[in-house]
Amino acid sequence: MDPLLRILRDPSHMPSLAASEWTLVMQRARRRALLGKLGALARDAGCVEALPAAVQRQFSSMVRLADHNGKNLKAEAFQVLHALADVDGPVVFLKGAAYALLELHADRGRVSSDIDILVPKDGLEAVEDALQHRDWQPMKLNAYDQEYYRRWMHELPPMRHRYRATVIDVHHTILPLTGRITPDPKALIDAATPVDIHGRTGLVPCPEDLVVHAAAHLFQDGDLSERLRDLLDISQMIGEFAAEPGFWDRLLERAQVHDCGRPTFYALHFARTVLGTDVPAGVLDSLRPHPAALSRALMSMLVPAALVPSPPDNATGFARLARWLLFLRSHWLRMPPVMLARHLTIKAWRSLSQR
Amino acid sequence: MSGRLIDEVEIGELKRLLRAGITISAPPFQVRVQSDNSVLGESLKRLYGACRIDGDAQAADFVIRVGATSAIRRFVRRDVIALIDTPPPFTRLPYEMAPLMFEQALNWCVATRTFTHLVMHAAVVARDGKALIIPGESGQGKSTLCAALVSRGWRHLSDEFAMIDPETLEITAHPRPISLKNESLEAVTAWGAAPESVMEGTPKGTVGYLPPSMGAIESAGQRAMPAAILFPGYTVDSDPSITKMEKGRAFIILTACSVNYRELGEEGSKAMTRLVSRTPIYRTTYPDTASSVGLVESLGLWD
Repeated sequence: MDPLLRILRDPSHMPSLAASEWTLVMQRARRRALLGKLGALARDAGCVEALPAAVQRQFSSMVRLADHNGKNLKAEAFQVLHALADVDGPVVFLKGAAYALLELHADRGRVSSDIDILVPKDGLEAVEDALQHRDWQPMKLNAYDQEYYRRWMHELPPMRHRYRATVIDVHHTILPLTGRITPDPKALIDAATPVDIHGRTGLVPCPEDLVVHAAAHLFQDGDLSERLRDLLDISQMIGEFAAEPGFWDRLLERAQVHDCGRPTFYALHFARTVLGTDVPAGVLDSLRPHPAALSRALMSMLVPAALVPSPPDNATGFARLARWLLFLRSHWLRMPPVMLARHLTIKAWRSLSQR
Repeated sequence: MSGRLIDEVEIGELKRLLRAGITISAPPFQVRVQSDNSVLGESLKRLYGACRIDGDAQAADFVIRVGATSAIRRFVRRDVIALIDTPPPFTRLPYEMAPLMFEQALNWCVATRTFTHLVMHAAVVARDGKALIIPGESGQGKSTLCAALVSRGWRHLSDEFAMIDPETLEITAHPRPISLKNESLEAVTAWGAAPESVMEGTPKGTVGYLPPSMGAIESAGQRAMPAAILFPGYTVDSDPSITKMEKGRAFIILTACSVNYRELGEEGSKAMTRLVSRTPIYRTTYPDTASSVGLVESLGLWD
């Protein structure tokens, strides 16, 4: 088995890796923001001291960076709430920010600089104004991209803070408006749970929505290429949340509420097959809607090859093919064919004319 | 210490090993280098002769490949670029400048991937475990002063980075070739030092290196605590002077010299506060190297 997957499935195997295997594993992990997570897994498994000195040094550096990053994210979340204090309506922190605020296992060793928030669509303008008033500035985009974001995407164009350089993505739903499936942002907001942020109260999705959202993000909205880190987030959340009684039933229900049966199916399926996550057999069968048998067979062939980071500049032919096919799939899922053709034509024309 | 001294590896064998990749022990790091560039092979022998290689027995902190930007550039208008695991921030150089490319790439790895220490742009030398930190961007004379003090028997900890433990303030040595540019090359030649791998016409002008001694590499694990911070101030025709620097001002300048102050958050600012409040900090001006050495010795901290 691939040594990277072997140690992710069971971190206590880390001391059995040879020095030369570590060199390559660290390179691959570093390319896709997994190095800090590996470091945190080693720490939690208590096997750091049995690892080569270079591995200990690099793990220690990345885990420290991630610890500071988590604190910075929390401070940044406070600033966001402060900026939005006079705006009516809920603010839900998503993805990495939510993991950091909840101090989930998935946050350990994780580095992410962006803050993602979800607000009701009718409050979008007020939120944008308030953030810009507090020095978050729109990042430079051309007119087509601006229009594309505002008309079709599930988020505003990203804004960057003038002094702290942090980037915020303001979402009004969790998948693009053009896509095949349409999750329910109101349901996510209604079920969100409060979390203390340095004395202010913010909201984060309920545990089941965190999993469904991560699944939708990875399997419905992304091209999956080398995004093992995102699958690991999901696997770690499942491992942590499944201890709560009733988690699996609630997860089935929330997947249905958000119309995310398929991406949730794939997330659970690949967490189990690629990372060895415990998923009760009945859960996969009960998810609705279910992917068709042919899709499942194709995905089972392509996803593991595409998802696992390759060595630098040395992807196998099959991994490259799998990534290309899944890239096409992601665009197919994102928008209707005619619109996709128009979008890609404009993008291609622009990249040619800019040369 | 295990492995073979690079100095004792015959050049043909070194180049052959380098084509497959060698892991160099450059304390505290293990650096894997792979290259078919023969200029790099020769310069590694001269500049890293005091370092050891140990087959595949060591895992590597950093992996750097140094080679042509494309197949055709291996033959026509030959060039060189360093590749690491993430998209490289380097721009290509002519083939003969591979040593400079490698030094840049390794510096980049150390600067952007070390979060166990507060890292700042500074040369560090020591005597009796008491370290002198010489901060500054390139061109302000830190390397020349570093080389001068090392030639007078000071221990060479680093020419590029002060790696400071945020808890204890202890300095981790990272002795590497001392990088000298333009006039500073002439300055060190004047006292009999012989820069190696001299490259003319680089983006930084003429660049050459003084290799770390065997002693510098072997003593890299020894403890050194900051005893003074001294800002170099090479100024033509000036009178030598040394004055204590106001702490608030020093704090701001040192923060700007640090490469990871922001990333370390609270830990970084606590460490910097402790460093600045406990360590005497000086500003200097001097017209030549001899007087700069005189200024350091006049402090009386190492008598």
